[in-house]
Amino acid sequence: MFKVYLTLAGLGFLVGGCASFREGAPEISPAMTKLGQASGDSFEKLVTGRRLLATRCTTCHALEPVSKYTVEEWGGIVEDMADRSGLKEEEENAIQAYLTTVRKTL
Amino acid sequence: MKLQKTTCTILLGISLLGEVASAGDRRFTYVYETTTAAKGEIEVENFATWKTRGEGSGRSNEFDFRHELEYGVTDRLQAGIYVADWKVADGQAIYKDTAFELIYNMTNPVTDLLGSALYGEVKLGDQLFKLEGKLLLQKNFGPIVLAYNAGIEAEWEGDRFGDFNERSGEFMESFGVSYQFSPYFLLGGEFLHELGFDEWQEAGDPVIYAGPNASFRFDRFYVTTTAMMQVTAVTDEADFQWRAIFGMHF
Ligand code: HEC
Repeated sequence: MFKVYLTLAGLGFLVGGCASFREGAPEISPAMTKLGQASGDSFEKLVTGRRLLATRCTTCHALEPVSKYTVEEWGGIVEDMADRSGLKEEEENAIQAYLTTVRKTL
Repeated sequence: MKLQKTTCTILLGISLLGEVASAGDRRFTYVYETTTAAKGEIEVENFATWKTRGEGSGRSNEFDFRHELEYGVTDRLQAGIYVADWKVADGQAIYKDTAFELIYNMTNPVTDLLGSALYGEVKLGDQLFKLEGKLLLQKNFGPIVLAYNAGIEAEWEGDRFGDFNERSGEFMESFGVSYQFSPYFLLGGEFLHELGFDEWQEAGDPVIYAGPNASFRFDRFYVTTTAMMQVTAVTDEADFQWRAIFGMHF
């Protein structure tokens, strides 16, 4: 029985961990999709941006809440950080598009 | 083989060389993380390890150095070369070996339930040949990162390469936890458990090390360091070791 609890606790821990990155990289809502399309960013681009943000921007440090910086501030931060992450231009653009869209819906 | 001054200069040159980006600044020095360099990325890491054992006038010290170049073959596969492992003992610099490593990332520690990767290493020295395989696991919970490695290695040694008369094996596992106070500064701890098998048969005494670590990040480089105390009492292994990794990206 103890083992079952331990396994459940372990699983809860892992699922909790996955949930914790949703604050730094919220899922793409219909509102975001609409907003993105209005500025020429496809749903796929936003999805790619989110994935890249969560995987490539977490190798050195944790994600920060999107609400912490303005769209302009994010622009400067991503430009600086993209260099350090070895991001290609289209990857950087996808992250910028995603962050801009999320920030505008907050 | 004695390490020539010129070789040192070349190595230093490589370390300081142009267009180099980071796959991610290391949080640990003994434990490996599961994330790999992005395709086309190059990373340089310099290791320095100080090991000491014994007491009073019988105390012996060894300083090990490693210069590693890592390259992202694909977004998941990272190849690395330890351009040289060398040591300074009794005031002399001695070349030990050159090694090749491959890390294959399977799952991501942030977006997947559990991050995982496979690690393989081949080491060639003028007196040794070594194979090593490890499973790497990692989970990130925002600022907290947990990582676990388990692996086995087989080593052949002799007076000359190819003329091996000794063989040994080892099981190892390591665990690390790190907490990020800011993107500039992280603190944590590492734990290392090694179990040797002479002639691949009899298990020796388990050796366990544990100690704190810290990571400092700057604009273009980082330093991560760990101080490890032996918590077991195996006298022919270091009772204290300290490691620092100095990584750079331009
Ligand atoms: C190579 C390691 C590394 C990678 C990869 C990295 N960062 Fe950073 N990040 C840092 C360091 C170091 C700092 C501390 C501030 C500084 O040096 O500018 C930082 C700071 C930050 C900050 C705090 C604001 C600031 O400028 O102080 C944010 C936000 C941030 N990074 C976002 C990102 C994003 C988004 C990505 C992915 C595009 C990313 N980081 C990738 C190392 C990295």
